[in-house]
Amino acid sequence: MADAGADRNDVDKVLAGDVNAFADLLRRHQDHVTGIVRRHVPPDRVAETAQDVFVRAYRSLSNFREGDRFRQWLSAIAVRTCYDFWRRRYRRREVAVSQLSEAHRAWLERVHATDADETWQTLGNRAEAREVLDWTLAQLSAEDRMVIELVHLEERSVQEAAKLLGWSVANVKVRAFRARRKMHSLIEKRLS
Amino acid sequence: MKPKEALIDRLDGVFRQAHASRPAPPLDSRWPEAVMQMIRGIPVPEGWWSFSLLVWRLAPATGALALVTLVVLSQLLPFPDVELFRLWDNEIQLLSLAGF
Repeated sequence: MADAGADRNDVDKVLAGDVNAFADLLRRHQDHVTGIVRRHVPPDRVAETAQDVFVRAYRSLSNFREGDRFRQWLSAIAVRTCYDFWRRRYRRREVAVSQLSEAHRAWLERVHATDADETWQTLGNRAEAREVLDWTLAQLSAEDRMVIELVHLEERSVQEAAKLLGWSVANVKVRAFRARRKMHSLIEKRLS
Repeated sequence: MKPKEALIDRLDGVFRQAHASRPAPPLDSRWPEAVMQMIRGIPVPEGWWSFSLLVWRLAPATGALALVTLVVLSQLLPFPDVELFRLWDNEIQLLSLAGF
């Protein structure tokens, strides 16, 4: 709550012309923003995208409302900046769909065969898990990718995802259902 | 081997784990200063005192006020609705008689 008051105070200072007050907002929320960004964009683009988030936040600071919480407001900007990153990439067809190797196929088979919870944890932490996940996500649209990541992978509620993306709840619900089905049919095709 | 549905459920869990464990690349210690340098190059965002923003923010209230004024004025008019219609109708008839 103290942070919320300090945030409001710093926002007012920036709007009154004291640009340096933004440094305090940056310091206070930098970990939170990079925490969101690193889960949605490739590692080599995290710094640049997080920078984009703060620049956008600065530019639209006058839209920050009295009753809003700065961290939530900033989270929505972070998620939408990541979405725009993928939209640009897909539009320029920069999303490379690599082929799954034999190692990935073997990893999928191991997931299929194992029963123990601990083994799943180990399998989820392996590099192959991220590579298979990235391979699948690369074949979805930017919209489907964001919905899958927010709703299925981060287990956020549909309402929360809709708020972060600025979409309707119905849109997120329908997209989440279809995108998950699409994702699984891609995996099934690889296995069959 | 389990049925495909079991694999799908399991994959959801494993993918969640993989997504959560994405490595956090270390940010350069000069990163905040680089962001601030970029921000200092941007004009200060317009606050509440900006005229155009003020117009937009007051637009709904202005619209509502105009509507209320219209309703009040219509109640204050000395002629009832029927009389107004008759006046309007007569005017049309006069115009048609005059050959317009």
